Amino acid sequence: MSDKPYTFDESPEQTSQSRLRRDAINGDAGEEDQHNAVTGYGKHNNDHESDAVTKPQYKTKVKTQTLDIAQPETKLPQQVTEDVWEVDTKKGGLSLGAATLGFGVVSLIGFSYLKLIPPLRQTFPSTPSVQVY
Amino acid sequence: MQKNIATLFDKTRAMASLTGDKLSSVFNKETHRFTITGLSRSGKSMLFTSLITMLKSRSEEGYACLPLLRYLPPSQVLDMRIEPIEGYKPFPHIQNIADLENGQWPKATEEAFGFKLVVRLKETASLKRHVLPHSDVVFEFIDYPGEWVTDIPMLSKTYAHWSDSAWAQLSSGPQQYFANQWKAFVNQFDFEQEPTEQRIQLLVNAYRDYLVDAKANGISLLQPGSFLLESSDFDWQAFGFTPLPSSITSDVSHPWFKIFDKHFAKFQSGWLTPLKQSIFKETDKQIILVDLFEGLNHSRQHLYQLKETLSHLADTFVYGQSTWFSRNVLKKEQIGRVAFVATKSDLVPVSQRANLLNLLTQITEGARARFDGKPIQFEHFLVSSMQVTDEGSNDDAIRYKDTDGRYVESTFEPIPSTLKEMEEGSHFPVPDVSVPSDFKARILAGKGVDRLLQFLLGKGE
Repeated sequence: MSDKPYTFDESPEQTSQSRLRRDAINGDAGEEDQHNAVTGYGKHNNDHESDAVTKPQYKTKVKTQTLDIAQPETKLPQQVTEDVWEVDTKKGGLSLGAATLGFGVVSLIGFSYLKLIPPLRQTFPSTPSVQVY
Repeated sequence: MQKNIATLFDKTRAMASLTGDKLSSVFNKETHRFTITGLSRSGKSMLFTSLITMLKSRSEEGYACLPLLRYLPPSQVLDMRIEPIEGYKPFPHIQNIADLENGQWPKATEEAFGFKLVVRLKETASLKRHVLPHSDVVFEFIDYPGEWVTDIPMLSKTYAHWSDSAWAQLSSGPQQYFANQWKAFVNQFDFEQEPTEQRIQLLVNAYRDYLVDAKANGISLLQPGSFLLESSDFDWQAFGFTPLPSSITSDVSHPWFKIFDKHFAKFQSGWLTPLKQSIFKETDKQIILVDLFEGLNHSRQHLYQLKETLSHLADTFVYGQSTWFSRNVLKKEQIGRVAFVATKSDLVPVSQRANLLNLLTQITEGARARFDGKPIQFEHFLVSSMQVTDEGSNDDAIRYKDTDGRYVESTFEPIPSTLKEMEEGSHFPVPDVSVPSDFKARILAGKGVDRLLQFLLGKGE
């Protein structure tokens, strides 16, 4: 089976039903096939001819005709050298400010826990002293 | 002395730069994990191929595609690269492009592929860019066969429960038209005979024939879908099972019940459980791809069945809002943002797309009911991974090149906007479109992918 996006029947071997429906799309079915194409499931696969539950008959809601012109080519979009897109980014996770604040709080708690604040206070007096040699 | 100071300064600067890079990877990495859930043929592979092509063309070649995606401004994109995800085969993007060049659609997904799309963005904030020079936006995608996802709900059932519900399902809805042979086979099968390996294989092969036939005819609710793929890491030839009539499943001492119950348990523990753990890892965003054309191509009953299948699938996932703590500390994610996407929307005329969107909304009703009472953000999208059709001569027509190489025009009668409006006994055959030679331009002209990404990245409008 296939994941192909733009085909309606991807069975390795097409059933008579899918052929009929494709003929209906392509609009070139013979008279008998035209009738069956309109009714969709009108002609059964031989395997199912003796089916106890009969498949319903469907009529198509899409009409297709062949055109005598070539398909126009789609052009690649314009290449832009300068940015025309609006800057609209927002980073997830921790912002730099939040990370700094967190780091500061963790340091404070850590220093308190290790009782390092009083020695630091003693080491660095509140008034700076300048020594001239 | 000056030399020593200069060396010290250089070292300090190098260390600061290195620290900046490390800090950047810790603080400025933004990861988006996407689960893309889609049934078989829903267009997952093509969507991935288009997405990579669009983003690369936009950031590396400057093509003005994805105009509504303001999240990743090209001037800020330093580079974009695709990296493998550990434990997964790399997504065959290059092979898929080669297939398109050769006029073939990308091959169906028959095994799991994973890849990361890493977009490195330049930091623009004046202070931050000196410390954290860039940020990475990481998209993690996992592509897996749609046949596997339909099997996951079997994890929560016993064999008897599954067998009874599977038997009821194949006796109703559109699948009943394809189950006749299988049921006839079961009716003439002698269950009084011991379940030998040969007889089990006979039964399993007959059931698999039904699965293959039903799938080819647009049936979406098929279990076990894993039996349809040779790539499934489960030996269904040796440990296969099938649904059995209730006359057998009601007798727990019946030899056929006992053997299938044992095989079913092995299927759950040896295949589905590891599959769910490895493939369907918990993520915070989900894209549910819906191929409405499979239903429109066949009948209203097929659409009803699609609705039922989606409803069952929604049971498989965990919905809710993840917090920073649950995501980063508990390492548990819940899906908080869901996009329901109808693919291949360019296969209907523009005038009918509003109806298509309404139909999509109704098809997802059952799945959305799972969100009740939870803060889930969801939205519906129509997406075309590649604009394969052109405007027709009137509003209700499209033009395209068919697989016979003819340029044709298809005129549509109004597409139903609700299931009720789908006329009994009618269908909308899906255009049988060939791969256009200008496929790259048509990928870049694809519609809806930018809105979809913008919504999923948290910038939905």
